[in-house]
This record gives sequence, C-alpha cells and structure tokens, in this order.
Amino acid sequence: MVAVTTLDRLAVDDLYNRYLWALDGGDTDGWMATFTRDAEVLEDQPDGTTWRGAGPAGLREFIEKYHRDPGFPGHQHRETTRMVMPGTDVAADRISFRSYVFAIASHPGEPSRLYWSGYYRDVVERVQGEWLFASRWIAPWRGAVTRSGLTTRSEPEGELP
Amino acid sequence: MTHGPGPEERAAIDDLYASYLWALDTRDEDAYAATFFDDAELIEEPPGAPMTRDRGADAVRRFVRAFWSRHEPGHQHRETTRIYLPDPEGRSDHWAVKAYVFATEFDESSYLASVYWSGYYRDVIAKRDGRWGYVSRWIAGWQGDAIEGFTHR
Repeated sequence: MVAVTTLDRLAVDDLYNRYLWALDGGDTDGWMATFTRDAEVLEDQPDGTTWRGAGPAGLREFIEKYHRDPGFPGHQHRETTRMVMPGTDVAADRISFRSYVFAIASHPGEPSRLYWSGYYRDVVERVQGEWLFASRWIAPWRGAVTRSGLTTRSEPEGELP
Repeated sequence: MTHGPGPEERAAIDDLYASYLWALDTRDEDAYAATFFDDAELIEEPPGAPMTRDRGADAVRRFVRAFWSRHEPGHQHRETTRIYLPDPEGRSDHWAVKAYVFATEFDESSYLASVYWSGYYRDVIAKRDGRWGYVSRWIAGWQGDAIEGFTHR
C-alpha cells in the first residue's frame, strides 16, 4: 500500500474540520461542498436500520434533516482517532478512514453535556486536487464494531457500497 | 492539496495551541502571557455576561487572572477542529484560525469528569522573530455568530 503523505493527511484534516464546522454551524452548502458529486451517506438509526442517500439530492435530504431540526443548533461534533484502513489506494486517489466522533450539546441556560458517541467509516477521493468525501457511514458506538477487531479488518459489517 | 500552513508550520502552531492550554489549566501566568504578542487583542464572550475586549500584555494577564478567580482548579480545555483561513489583512506570515474548544471538570471526590463548557476560538496568529504567537484571540461559547447559519430557518 502506498503511504499517505503528510501533505495529503493535512489536506484531509482540513476536509474533516470543514465538514464539522459546516455541520454544526448550519452551513448546508458548505457541508455539501465536502462531498464528491456522486457521494453516498449512510447513517445507522436507533432502530437498527441504516439510512442511505446518494448524490446531491440524497446528501441534501440528509443534512437538512439536521439543519432544519430546531433542537440541533448548539451541538458540536468532534472527530478523533483517525486511522488509515485497508482498501486505501493512494495511487488511485482513494483513502479509507475510520475515526471516532462524539458530540457535545450546549443550550442556553443548560449545562453542556456529552450527547452522542460513535464512529465514521469514510472513503475520501481526490477530485481535481481536492480531497472530498466519496462515502461516509455514520454509526453509534454499539453493536458489532465494539467487538469486531476493526483495526485488523477492512469492513466488519460488510463492504461499503 | 492543502490551503493552510505546511507541515513544519503546523507542528509549531500545534505547540502554540498546546502551550496556551497547558498554561491556562495549570495556572501558569507567565507561560500563558508568552503565547501572546505584546500588542495582542483578547476578546471574550463569557456566558451570561457582556463581551470584553482588551489589548496588550497587561490586559492578557488581567484577563487570565480574572478567569482563574471565577473558576476552581480542575478544568481541562481541549482544542479541536482547527480551520486555517487566509489572514483578513492579507499578511503572508499570519493565519486566521477558528477552532472548537471544550472544557472538562474533574470532581476529586467522585473521581468523575464531565463536560463543563463548549465553545470556539477565532484567532489571528503570526510568526514574529521565529516564534508563533497570538495576535488576537476571540473566545466565545457555541452560540451567537457561530450558529448564525441556523437563524434563517
């Protein structure tokens, strides 16, 4: 596997951080701009199903669910513990990552609190020199991942589409 | 491709941010002041209180002393999600930075930590005489301008 260069890692850092600021700041277009045009987003739901949306319409449907939710402003999501995963092909401008994410909710008159803890399974692709999300799978920290040995396998719960 | 500082600059900037937080949380006034340039501006939007804005080395020291006087020891601040933006005044050796920050507090009796506060920094940093430091730091909770993107909905 070709190593991910330092400069590429910095560019990916910037991508992740832009995503989070846009998510938490209500910047719908800024959030959309972190994805490739045909990107896919998947999100595991509390009932165990997985929501899936692709392309500009699917991505917008996903983010507007949060950006139109009056209870969403005040959340800050933080991503840490990012790992390059098998399946990465830097020569083909494609990197697979896994990382932790958690959210803090702060609302006026209430103490800040930890709200949610989960993980991302991402594929980022370089398009015209810019790293963007081609696929993002968002899931809470529960179920198979908590005992799957994720660090040694590419996909504990099936291949990413 | 990255639009921000290069690797060596980022490493030095990481050190600046870490030095600030260690000085803040360990109550090291000299180390805290040393992260700012002498003409730096410090702006704070404290929860439930009017915004404060002050400039200069003495102001930085007054600010942090006042902060410590309002809070018991035991907080740890953590900075994440940093974004580098071009300096608004176009200076090549300056960066505008925005970043998330949150604080935990540790209760010695229960041995439990909890989230205390969540907010963000808006900074201008520069390298002068080989040293990175804050030209300005704006400290605010996760409210107001930060989430103005939601206000039109």
